[in-house]
Amino acid sequence: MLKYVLRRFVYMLITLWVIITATFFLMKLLPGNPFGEVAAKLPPENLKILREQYGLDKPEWQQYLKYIGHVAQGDLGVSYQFPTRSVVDVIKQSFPASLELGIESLIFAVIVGLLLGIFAALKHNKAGDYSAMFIALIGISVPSFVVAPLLSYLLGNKWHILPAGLWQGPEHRILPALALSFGTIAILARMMRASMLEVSSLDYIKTAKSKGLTTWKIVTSHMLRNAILPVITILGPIAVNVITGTLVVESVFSVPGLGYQFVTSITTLDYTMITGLTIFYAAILIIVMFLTDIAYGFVDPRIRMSGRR
Amino acid sequence: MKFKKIFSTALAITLAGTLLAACGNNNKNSDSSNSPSASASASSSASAGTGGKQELVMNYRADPPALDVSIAESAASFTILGAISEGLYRLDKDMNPQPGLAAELPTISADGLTYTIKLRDGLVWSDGSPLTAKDFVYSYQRTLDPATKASYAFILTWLKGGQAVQDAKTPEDLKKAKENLGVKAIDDKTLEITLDIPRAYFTAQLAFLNYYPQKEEFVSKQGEKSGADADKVLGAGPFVLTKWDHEQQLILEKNPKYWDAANVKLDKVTLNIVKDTATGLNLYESNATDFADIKGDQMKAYEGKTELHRKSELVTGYLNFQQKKVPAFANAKVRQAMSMAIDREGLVNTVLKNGSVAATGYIPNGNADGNGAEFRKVVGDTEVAFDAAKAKALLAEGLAEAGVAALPKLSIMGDDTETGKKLLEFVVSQWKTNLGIEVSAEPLPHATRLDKELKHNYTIVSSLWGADYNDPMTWLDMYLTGGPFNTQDWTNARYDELVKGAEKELDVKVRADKMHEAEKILMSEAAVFPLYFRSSPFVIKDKVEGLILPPYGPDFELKWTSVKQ
Repeated sequence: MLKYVLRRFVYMLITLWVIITATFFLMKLLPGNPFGEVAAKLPPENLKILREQYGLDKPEWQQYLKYIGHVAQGDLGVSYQFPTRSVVDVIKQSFPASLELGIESLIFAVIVGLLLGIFAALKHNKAGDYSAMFIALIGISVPSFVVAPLLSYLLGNKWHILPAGLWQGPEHRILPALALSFGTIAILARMMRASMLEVSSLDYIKTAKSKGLTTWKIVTSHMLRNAILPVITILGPIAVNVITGTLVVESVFSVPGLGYQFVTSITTLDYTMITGLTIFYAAILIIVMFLTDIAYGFVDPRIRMSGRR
Repeated sequence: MKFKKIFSTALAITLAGTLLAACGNNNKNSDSSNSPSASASASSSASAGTGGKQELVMNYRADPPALDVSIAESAASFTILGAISEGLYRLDKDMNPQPGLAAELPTISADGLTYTIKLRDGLVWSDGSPLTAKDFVYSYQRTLDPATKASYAFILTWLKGGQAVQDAKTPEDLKKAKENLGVKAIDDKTLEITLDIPRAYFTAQLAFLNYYPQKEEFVSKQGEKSGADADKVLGAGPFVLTKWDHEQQLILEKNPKYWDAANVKLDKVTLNIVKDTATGLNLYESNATDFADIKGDQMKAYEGKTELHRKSELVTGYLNFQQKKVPAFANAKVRQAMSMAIDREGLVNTVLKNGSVAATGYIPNGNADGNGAEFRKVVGDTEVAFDAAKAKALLAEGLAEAGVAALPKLSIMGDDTETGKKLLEFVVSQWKTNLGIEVSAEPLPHATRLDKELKHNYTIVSSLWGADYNDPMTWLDMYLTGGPFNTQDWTNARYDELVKGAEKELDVKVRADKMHEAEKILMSEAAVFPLYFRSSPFVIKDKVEGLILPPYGPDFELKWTSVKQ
């Protein structure tokens, strides 16, 4: 088992390195100048000092080696756009809001999504199934840039039920979490339904039924355990996705999260911010996958063995 | 059938749609805390002021990059620093300088070069330490020091010897240049500033951020982090920054040590960072904010209401035609034809719809002429008039003169913002209908557009320029031959002569006349084609009084603001 974990860990580092390298060089291909308008207003000597300070006067491979060295020490550099803030500072400031919003939306999505899926599977091909899947379909097809402004406008502005935006008290969390969970609910509900249907046709369920167990008992102690496995698999990447911030929901509800930083860093060519945030995002995704792999290894010995061949 | 019961409840929730589920969630939440609607209204009543406290809640569109007097370059920094600090003067609602840290208006020498300024008695920084004339000297030296890399340092090169400080190569040179710089502390309360040439607008410029004082001891202690957080910025203005949650919120509270604290009515200003104007308006309409910036299409609903305010800015939107990439554009008639074919009134009324007005020249309405008058009022309409029929004939004539059969493949580059894209579409369709030429629209992210523009790598560009200071020179010097913003490679000997002459001219009247003539050349040659003078709409609750929306520099001025109880 230890060997398996170690191997996974090495793979993880290699993946991360490939991502850093690719981002670094792709980013340099972006047209533009990170100093923007400032570049034209500064005298050439000052601009030279500025370029030296950010190491842009060196050839790209030297910049790359230096950068890799810094990253290995956990230093992601200083933002171009905010010269007084380091990328690590920005992540520390922005990530908590994204994380909290993501977790809240995930909890909500898991509860609603699983219930919908289970319900649809039990009412297979009946009205209940269709209506549950209809809701899921809406969740998948209506994008967040429609849901979020609608929620903000209706519940926030028209009916004054919840704040239309901002990130202050607990009441400010509800609408963004809800808007963010729409798509996830739909995915989870559909997966749960399919998985439940597959399990329900298996022999041991028939056995359970013929033993005279109640539906409640069959679902909770026999069907759920097996049906939920594939759902847990996709929950990892979904979780990473929602906690690393989504631009639309964050900007519509003025949540001070990471999603906005990610997008503006690209439009303003904030080199250090682009690479720093990509590395951060990738690292979280890879670590979650690493943990999923290990968890799998524990659950299913066949996976652990297959790596040995 | 316990199971059925549970699931029928679940069904009730889910079938009614997730909206209903949200309300369920909401109710659960309101048990543990205040009910959300109650707290939403609480925040609005807070802004109305409880117990005689004057509080204001505003939306703000961006987090300021760095609140450092020397390196600040964005309107956001200007706005916040204007509230927490002050210069020798402060501009009132008519943009006239009123004594700030200075006791009175400056004594100006007969040649217009030397300004002697007395400071007020008993001035202190917000930390209680005394503020003296030396703090101004330090500030100006620091901004000009090449190591500070201040992008607005050029405004301080107006001081005698300022350029020498910026160009200093060795530490010895720098020290000497700083000693020779035209700013001296005669004593703790007397400042003497010497200029390179007379500048009629200089007193007003002393109100601008770049001429604020800085406390050496404090700034050098912060090092690279100067202005990065609420505790790393020091001012002497009407407010103090008590909280700064990046990308989220800034809180300004009244500075009791400010010299004019008696006339500052607001106790607290909360600025919430709101980047989406639709959300901003939702917050405004649900009384969670007293101030919101809006867009043209949101403005319609407020037309005719007292809440709607328009700020006419010293900003011009214009087109440039690159003359090296497209040799035909070197012909003035071709440029005039391209300009003549665009209906600017149509642009502002059907596309922008935000109160912007059709340009009548390059220098916008409200910009001073450097001689005590408003430039546009003195010079009048110098723009090529819209005339579709004439444009076509002129284009043919121009192409014949230039010796080209037809225009090459053209594209117009601009910002990929909502308005930016609409503007490109409008201009392209105008050229198609009125001249019968095909131009493709190329919307780009701001940084990319700017970079391509500064590298002269375009055929036509839609761009914007805003005044850095209230004088025609901020507009005219950019079109000097070889200037960094003369990206279309236009050159005119007479224009260069006039602008360079004006830069050195000692007589204010002659200088103004030279600049008038220079703009006329710029326009009659169609070296640049101005489209509109920008205006931005805001909604402000009627109870807010005395909030100033200046046409350049800061977004708003809070010192004289109050809330009607």
